[in-house]
Amino acid sequence: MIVDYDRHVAVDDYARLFEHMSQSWRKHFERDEFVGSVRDGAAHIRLTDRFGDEVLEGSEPGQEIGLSVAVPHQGLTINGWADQVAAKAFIGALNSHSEHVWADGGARRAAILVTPHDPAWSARVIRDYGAARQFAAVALPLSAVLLGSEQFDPVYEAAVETDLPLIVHFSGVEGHYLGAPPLSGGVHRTAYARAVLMPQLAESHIASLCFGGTLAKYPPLRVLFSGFGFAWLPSLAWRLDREWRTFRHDVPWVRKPPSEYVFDQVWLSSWPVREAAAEWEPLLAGSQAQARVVYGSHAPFDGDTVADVRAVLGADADDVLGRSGVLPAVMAGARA
Amino acid sequence: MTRLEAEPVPRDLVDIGPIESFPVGRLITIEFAGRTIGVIRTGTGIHAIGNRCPHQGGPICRGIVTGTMAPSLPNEYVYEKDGEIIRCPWHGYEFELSTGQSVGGAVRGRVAIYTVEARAGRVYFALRRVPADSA
Repeated sequence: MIVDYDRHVAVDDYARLFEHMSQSWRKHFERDEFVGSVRDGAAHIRLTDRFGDEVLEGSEPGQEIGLSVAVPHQGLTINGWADQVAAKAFIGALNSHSEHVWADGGARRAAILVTPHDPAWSARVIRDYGAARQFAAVALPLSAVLLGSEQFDPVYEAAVETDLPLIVHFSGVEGHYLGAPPLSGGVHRTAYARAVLMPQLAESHIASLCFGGTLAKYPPLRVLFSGFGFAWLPSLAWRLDREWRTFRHDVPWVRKPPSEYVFDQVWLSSWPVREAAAEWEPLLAGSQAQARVVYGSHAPFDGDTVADVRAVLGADADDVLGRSGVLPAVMAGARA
Repeated sequence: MTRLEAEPVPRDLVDIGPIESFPVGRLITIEFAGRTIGVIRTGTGIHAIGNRCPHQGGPICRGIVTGTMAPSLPNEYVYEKDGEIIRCPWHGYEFELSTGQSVGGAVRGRVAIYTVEARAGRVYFALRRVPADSA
């Protein structure tokens, strides 16, 4: 079965979310700077790929996709919202929309949107939706607090309790909106410069999950970093282990080389698969890092089709396309 | 490793001095057959180690003798084995003085452990490696 862990979905008109809101919140959001923001698409990282460029509501996974996990990327941008009260109403409506429109509980499932700015609320949302067959994962946007902070423990506990993996995908506002994580070095002028540097975030948060002890504390926790690429993983794993060997006494809760936690609990999506440049880069080929890569089309944003993955990875493509570690229960049919 | 004083002294053991010359907690280096050996008395006995870190060959006898942090829950420190650990001066890797094993399995290989005994107020040494399973 081919699994697409990174199929983007979005509403083409925010007014479509109103039916999932109370009348009071609907009246709050009935203003052009909100409804019109879909049309303007100004918050997304690819300014030329406006949310409204195509009707994503109709963006169906290809027939060859046996299971897809929809990531409602409009909801990810709340990591840069100033009004976190309204943000929760917004992603609450998106979750309801996912449940009723984007996910069918079979081949099309969705990620539950939560907010990094309110872990306790997010944990409740995970538990509320956790048993619903429409959902197969939790989408946790990034804030300026590293994921290895214990303030996220309620989210991790809820994810473990509901047996849902976390999907971490950038929203596009990282590096220039307050509340979202900064990129190192400074504030870049352009969206494309920020896009190039998004892998920094995954590296940083994986290091935090290791050294903060999160992965050691929650062995069943599964985290998929999606859209950040993957070619950097071997060097990161090597550097994690090297520093741990020297400073193990400073992080005694990390009970084995950090890479062992990564190679057991962390995955990376394959987009952009051309990062592998026609074949696996030498450091990746045959490595434990290679075995952490799962298929994510990133469609429709300049995404990779199944054919793209096959063209680049050749005989290894099937492993990536069908890897089951992120959703073992779903793929085994145990989570109907 | 300490033996019963009633046992006969093995023939390859060499008297390296009175036990007062080896204060508890202080690593004393000796030159023996062209090798530098570190001898130290700890709360668990007397130990002799080779002067080579298995990581990159650092002069481990110049490292500090310390304890270490036991495996713990996140953000908790549990200090233990005070005086039983030596930390390489080059990269900070930690090794058990009694076994030569890397603490926490951080490094492959171990520091060489040699035969040393205290008996009748004297310290005896042999350039004989103690196998890992009996160190």
